[in-house]
Amino acid sequence: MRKCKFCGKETGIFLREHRLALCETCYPSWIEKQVSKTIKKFNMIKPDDKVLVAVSGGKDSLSLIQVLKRLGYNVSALYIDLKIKHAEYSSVSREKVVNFCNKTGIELYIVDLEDEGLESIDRISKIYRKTCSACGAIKRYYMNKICLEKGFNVIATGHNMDDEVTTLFGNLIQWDKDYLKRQYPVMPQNNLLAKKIKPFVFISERQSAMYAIVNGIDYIREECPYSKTATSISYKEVLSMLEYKHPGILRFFLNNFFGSKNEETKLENVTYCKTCGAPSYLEVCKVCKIKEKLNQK
Amino acid sequence: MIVSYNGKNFEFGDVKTVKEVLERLKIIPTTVLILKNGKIVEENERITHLDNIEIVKVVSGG
Repeated sequence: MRKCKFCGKETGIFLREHRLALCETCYPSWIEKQVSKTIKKFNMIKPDDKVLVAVSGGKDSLSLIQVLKRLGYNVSALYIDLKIKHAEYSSVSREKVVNFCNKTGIELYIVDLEDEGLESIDRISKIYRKTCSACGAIKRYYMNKICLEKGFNVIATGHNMDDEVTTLFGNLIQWDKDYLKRQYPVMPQNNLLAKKIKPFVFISERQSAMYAIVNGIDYIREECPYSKTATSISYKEVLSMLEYKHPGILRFFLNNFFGSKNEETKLENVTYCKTCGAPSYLEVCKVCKIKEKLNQK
Repeated sequence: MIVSYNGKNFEFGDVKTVKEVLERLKIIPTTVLILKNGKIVEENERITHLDNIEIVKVVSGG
């Protein structure tokens, strides 16, 4: 059995990409240090910032909020109840988030799709073939709304390194120059949109799950029923095989991509939605379009 | 030996390491965590029928 690099204790935790063995006691501190480095490198959070962390009940978002809290940042949680009935997905994830916040004493805001006139993702999936895209638009809309309404400066999401590499891979496959231009760990604030950050951008999905498990974080292990057929899953399978054969290659790929950008991400053409006044790249924002379609049916 | 993976139980009679289990289930090692009696272990870890083995999927989509 390998021995922890820091304390010499026997351990089964070995990070091939870093050629590093760590015990269950030293591992969480190591992750927290890595996240702290990322936050500093990209100027993500200032000491007096109020950070709203979007939590889903999954490993990444719950681990992220725990890391940020341990690093001493002022954090609150936002949970968006998507009302997914299949396998009681939303009720289980909501329970996990509520329990986690009660246990850690973290302030929690909840947005309920039913209360917002959007019914449920189950209903929206019958209208929109690209359910994940509609769901993403709804989540971004309420993250920004709650952030600005409640006086937060920053929104943090639990996107991990594998998510980012998969997005980058997808954008390259489609040669989507606009998305490639925008993809960055920080989206700066302007008067319409709150600052958005991804502090887990160099934490792999596996590292994030390990952090949750060694810290006893009770997260939802079931996959969202709508993401099971997502293209991103098949991209991730291919990329995972590449990472297995060449440990560290995904980090290298992502790091060099971000390094190739010589200026901060710019938000262009953001305007106000004519219906609800929220920031939007379109005349009428996607959430208002979804509401309109729901009312027509 | 009973191995739980993705909410299902799989039975193996003749495996000696976690790696063999992963190969039989056609799992890419970087997409999972392996818990032996609740502790994270590497894929070359030796296992017996007395061990409680759980394979935790870490890949999520959306």
